Amino acid sequence: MQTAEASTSNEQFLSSVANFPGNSRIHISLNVADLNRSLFFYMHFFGVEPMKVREGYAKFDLQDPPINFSINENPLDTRSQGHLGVQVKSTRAVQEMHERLNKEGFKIISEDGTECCYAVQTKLWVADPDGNRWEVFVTTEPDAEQGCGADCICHQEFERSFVEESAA
Amino acid sequence: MPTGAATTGSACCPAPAGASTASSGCCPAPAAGATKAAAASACCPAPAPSQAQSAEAASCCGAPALKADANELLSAVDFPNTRRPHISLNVKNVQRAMWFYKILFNQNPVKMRPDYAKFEPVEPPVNFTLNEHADAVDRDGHFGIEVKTVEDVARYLERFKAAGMKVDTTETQVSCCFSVQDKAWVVDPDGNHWEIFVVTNNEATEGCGLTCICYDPGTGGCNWKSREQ
Repeated sequence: MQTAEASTSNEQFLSSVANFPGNSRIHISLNVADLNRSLFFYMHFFGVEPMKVREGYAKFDLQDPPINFSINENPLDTRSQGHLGVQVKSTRAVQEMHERLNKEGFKIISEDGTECCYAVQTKLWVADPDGNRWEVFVTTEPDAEQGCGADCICHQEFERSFVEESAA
Repeated sequence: MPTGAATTGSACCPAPAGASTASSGCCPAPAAGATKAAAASACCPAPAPSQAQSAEAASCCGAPALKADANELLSAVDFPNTRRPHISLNVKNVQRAMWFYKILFNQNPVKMRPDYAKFEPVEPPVNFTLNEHADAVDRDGHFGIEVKTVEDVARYLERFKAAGMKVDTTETQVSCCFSVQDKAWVVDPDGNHWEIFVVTNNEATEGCGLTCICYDPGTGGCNWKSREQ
């Protein structure tokens, strides 16, 4: 297991324990009614084994196409709502994104060293005008006790960001 | 509206938001007309490190599988590696959504129509599109894996069928979302629609209207449907 120590001399930043091609990759997380039936579907769909399976949770670490794909069992969710994200490799990248989005007037929720989906992550959340939730995150510890329960921030409604043309 | 956005970037190297001209030299080879091997090497990032899931993935930049013959259609768009994720969202207003994503991805869309916008970031690699539907419900859309040949689509189909997965629909040379594509659709147990597709012509007049397979307003959108139905 890799350590979470920063690989650069700038030690206030933490590095990702997850390795993948390039500097960032897409994250797709879906809420499903039944973990096992979805697990089988996606094992066949992607043609690979999940890299992590926990109670009510499974994660696929796809290299080609590069996707961090996870499913969370949530029988109470009446729609298969999920969230999307961009996974980066350092807390510095999260901070830089925070600064850029903040400057443009985005409504941002920050989480620092939070346990979610059985890993420790530093992240920010934003919601687009149609309610699609996006996180920009780095995984600093590959394992944690906390999954994604009904009270997880992943399932909450966020304030949406409506940015103007002039901001772009 | 930057209607000229489509000319400021290429599939490999979209211009950053606000840029007036395509200036990046990271991806010199044009997508159109390039041989697949040349296209792969022109915009291939560093090889995948230790966690490569297969030899195929690890050797994507050298990709010997990329051979063109008379019966094979190649992708009209170029991108790093052999495959990339696709996310398509149905939105109520493509303009207001587009500004959000210009900032999120920090670049302009590479393709814009009155009811459509497409982003092709290299970091993170994704084919990301917005389709405007006035009656779109929140958090609606579909996912996909974009490949580079019709043969690649067929290989997915063979694997899905061998695994007993129900292939919902196959489409050949269909005009959709302002391009021509070959594709196959499957639906996961919760109603999420996934397509495996190759874009064989990057231009078409047909977008994604009410009758599009991508969109099914009768059930509240094509994706993330209510489970009660």
